[in-house]
Amino acid sequence: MAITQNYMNSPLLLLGILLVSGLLLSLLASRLNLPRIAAYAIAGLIWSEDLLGGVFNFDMTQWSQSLTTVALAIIAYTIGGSVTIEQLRRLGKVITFCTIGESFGAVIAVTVMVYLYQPVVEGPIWVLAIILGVLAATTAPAATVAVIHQYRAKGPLTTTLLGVVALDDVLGVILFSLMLVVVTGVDLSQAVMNSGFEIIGSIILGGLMGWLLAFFERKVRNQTFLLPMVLSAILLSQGLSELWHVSPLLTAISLGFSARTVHQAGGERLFEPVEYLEELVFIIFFTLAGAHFKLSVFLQGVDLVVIYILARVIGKMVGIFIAARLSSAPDTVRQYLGFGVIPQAGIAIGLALSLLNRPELHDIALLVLNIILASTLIYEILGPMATRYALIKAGEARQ
Amino acid sequence: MTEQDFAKISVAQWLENYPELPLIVAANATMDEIASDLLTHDSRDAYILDGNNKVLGHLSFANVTNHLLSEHRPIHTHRQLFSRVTDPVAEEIMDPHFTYARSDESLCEVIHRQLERDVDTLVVLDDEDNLLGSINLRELVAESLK
Repeated sequence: MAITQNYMNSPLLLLGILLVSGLLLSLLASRLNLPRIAAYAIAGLIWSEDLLGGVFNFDMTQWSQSLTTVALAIIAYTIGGSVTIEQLRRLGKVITFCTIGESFGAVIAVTVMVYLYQPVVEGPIWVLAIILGVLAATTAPAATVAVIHQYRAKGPLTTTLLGVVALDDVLGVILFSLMLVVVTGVDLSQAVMNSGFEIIGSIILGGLMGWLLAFFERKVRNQTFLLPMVLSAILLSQGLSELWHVSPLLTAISLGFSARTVHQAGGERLFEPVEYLEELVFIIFFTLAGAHFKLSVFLQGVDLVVIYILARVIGKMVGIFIAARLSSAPDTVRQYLGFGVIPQAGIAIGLALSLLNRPELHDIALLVLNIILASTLIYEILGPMATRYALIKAGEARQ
Repeated sequence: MTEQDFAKISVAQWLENYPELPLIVAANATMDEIASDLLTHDSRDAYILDGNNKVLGHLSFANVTNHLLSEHRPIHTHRQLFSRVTDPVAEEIMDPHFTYARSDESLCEVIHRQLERDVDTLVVLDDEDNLLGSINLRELVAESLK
């Protein structure tokens, strides 16, 4: 029994079990035309404390934190480097306005509605409301692109939608890292001072590391060195951000953005090798999130799941409607874009998982994760249906 | 022609027998324009020059078509999404780390580099990195079969 217990608390064995379960279930899901993300989450759920995890006495609290930090840093790095200043300039008024509108619309709607609902939770309600609000900003480009591809959609709505779902993740991750800096401050005056230090420190650290990465990459001809170089830069920047108490997430975003900006042409080379890891990162996020599912916590927050889903959809719809009017967007964009930004998946889960690493948010982190996991599974069903509806109504679906 | 024969021939000598310039495209050329040029010239490689005859970067047919036909890809990263929405131009997608040959090298060294990097048209640069010409893999293969 003792031997079994030792084996079952081996981080590598537990991680291996989670990954293999996720992959096997996703293979089954693809045969049944079910979303693979749901399969990953269910695979994790099987090994949660309420099911097999409890039977085998799994303990994921220690090792999963470092893994989540690294995985999220990889995603933040790729997101930070996904866009150049020139591309941002070329995105145009409609995409920029609509992104700001739908992101902030969701943040405000969810924050206000959760706060007004006054749920019974341990810890301050305003912190829970702000965290859920900020998490509402991100979307799921993969689900949107899959529907667009399936229907061979083309037109102003499709182009705007693609731009918006890419840009709101950038905005969402930045907002989340800023929010974390603020809500984890001790008191207001200290929070403001610490926030300034953390934000500026992260930008300087990430910017400097990105410059160094781009500089050394120019010296390297052998492409096989690129992945180790990038991973080393990410790990070192994360380590330094922990040491100097600056935001690791903002550091990773700055690292990616700085490396891409300094490198200019050909900077894509710094991201292509890491992008191959994205699916692995999402398997880790979803299986870990599923493994942290707790029925008692979920039941405590089931009403918040409903509020979160409704408020997020309403916020995004209203935000887009206002932003589209202000930016003189085409009618199809104004009327239907809101339906296309409903999906939410990997990035929100990753961000919610990272809350478990914060001792000061310990009371609400598990509740937030369970709310986001449950809503993600619902969005996985509703989101593609809504996107399909928007593309068909706008007359941009070809098949 | 054997490997020993290729070892005896320098890149400069090869250029005398096969004087050829690579396909050059404008830095602000769109994906449509580059693809059209590549097809017209039956080439898999294009290069961008600055005003002083220096090569700035390389564009492969695969890279260009990857951007041109991106809507047929069912999965996009964030980077690919931004690229798709903003219609990139040649200088944004070129590879500034292109492989090249010097005129005093032997053909043997050059062929290996060309095969390793999957480049059909390899640019030849002088000591000041000015463009001298290019070596076409097809002509090398044709010569090796003689």
